[in-house]
Amino acid sequence: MLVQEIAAKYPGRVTFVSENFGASRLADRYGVKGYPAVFVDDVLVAVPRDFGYFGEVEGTGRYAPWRNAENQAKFKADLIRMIDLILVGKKDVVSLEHAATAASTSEVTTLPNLKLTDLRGHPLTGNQLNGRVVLVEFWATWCPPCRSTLQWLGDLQHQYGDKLAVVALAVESPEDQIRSTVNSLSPDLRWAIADAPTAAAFGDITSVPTMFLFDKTRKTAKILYGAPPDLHAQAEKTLASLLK
Amino acid sequence: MKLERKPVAFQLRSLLPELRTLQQKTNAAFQPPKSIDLHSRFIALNSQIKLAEELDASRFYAGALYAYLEAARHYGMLDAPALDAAAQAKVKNDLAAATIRIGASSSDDSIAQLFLERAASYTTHPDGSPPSADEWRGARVILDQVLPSYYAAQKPATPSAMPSGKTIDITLVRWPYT
Repeated sequence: MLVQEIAAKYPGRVTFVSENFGASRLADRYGVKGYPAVFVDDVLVAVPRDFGYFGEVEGTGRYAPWRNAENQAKFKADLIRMIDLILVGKKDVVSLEHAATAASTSEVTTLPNLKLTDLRGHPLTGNQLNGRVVLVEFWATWCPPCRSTLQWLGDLQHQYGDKLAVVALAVESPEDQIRSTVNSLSPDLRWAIADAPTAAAFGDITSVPTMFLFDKTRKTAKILYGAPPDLHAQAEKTLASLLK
Repeated sequence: MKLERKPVAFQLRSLLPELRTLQQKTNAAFQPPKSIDLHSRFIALNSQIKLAEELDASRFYAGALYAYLEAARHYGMLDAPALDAAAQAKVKNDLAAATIRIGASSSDDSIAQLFLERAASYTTHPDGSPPSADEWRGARVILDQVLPSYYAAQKPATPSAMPSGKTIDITLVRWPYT
């Protein structure tokens, strides 16, 4: 709908381009991690967190929560203004206004301190994971790719034993459905429900699955967004280097 | 100024297309002898356009609108003809009609009202002295150019108001597998 409205307002003046995450030179140039992201010409104007993240508080994002009609209207108005500015030769104003957007693409560099209770009722803290390679998977019950990844994570946990701690954190899902899914999958993982502060500590989780791999010193080794076809291969390669 | 609080405010927007158009018209008008005879007017006009653009870039759209209308007034004064007695009488009638229109409006037209009351102050002096020729011209410009610009600013900007030729890419980086 937004695309149609913009196209009608600027006939022949605006071209819409769709680029795949993982294959976007613009996203790489700005270090955009995750999706969606929006560029007007080569200016990064919206990053994933602008469109909402798990545990967000109403009104904290520029366009989030995206389900809110007012935020959609704001995005549309902002987009039109950016187009108008660039069409009159004022791209520098747009770049200046969105400098903070470009600077907001950093990732978590160390394993955040966890303070959760797992689904069995036991405390789940960062100290319990000290000295081990840690894999944290954010997932949701409504996410089909998450299910296959969770089953595979169970295999990994079995393969590496105590050397690897796999923590599966559910977001945006009803607890009864989480427990039902967990019961049908591998019970050997550390399962918990991520609260808003935990999601925020990981740098805002804007999509699932999102997988974090940390080395034995808690430093971030790899972050994998979404479920590309080689997700498991990428993770296994990193784990092999961390656990050799 | 007499202001009644009106409940409805119209949707303010960026005036960049209009400002760009006005700047182009101003540049085109800056030719001798006008550029010499009306130099101070051009300075005032250009400074108002610049102020409006800066306010617009900061999204202070109400301030930008006022500055834009002030620029439109200066631009109108560049070519405004002198008025004879009949034309002066028509200014009075048109001012009365515009005042009724704004008074009857349910929206907050206070920015337009600023200009309308300025026009009224041009044509009616408290001490009863006659308006100058420039004052009659100024009132006519407010009626013919400022107020129409004000009402046009309440409508969506038209693409035709923008310079042609330039195109923009809007790129969405998306998840490729869903």
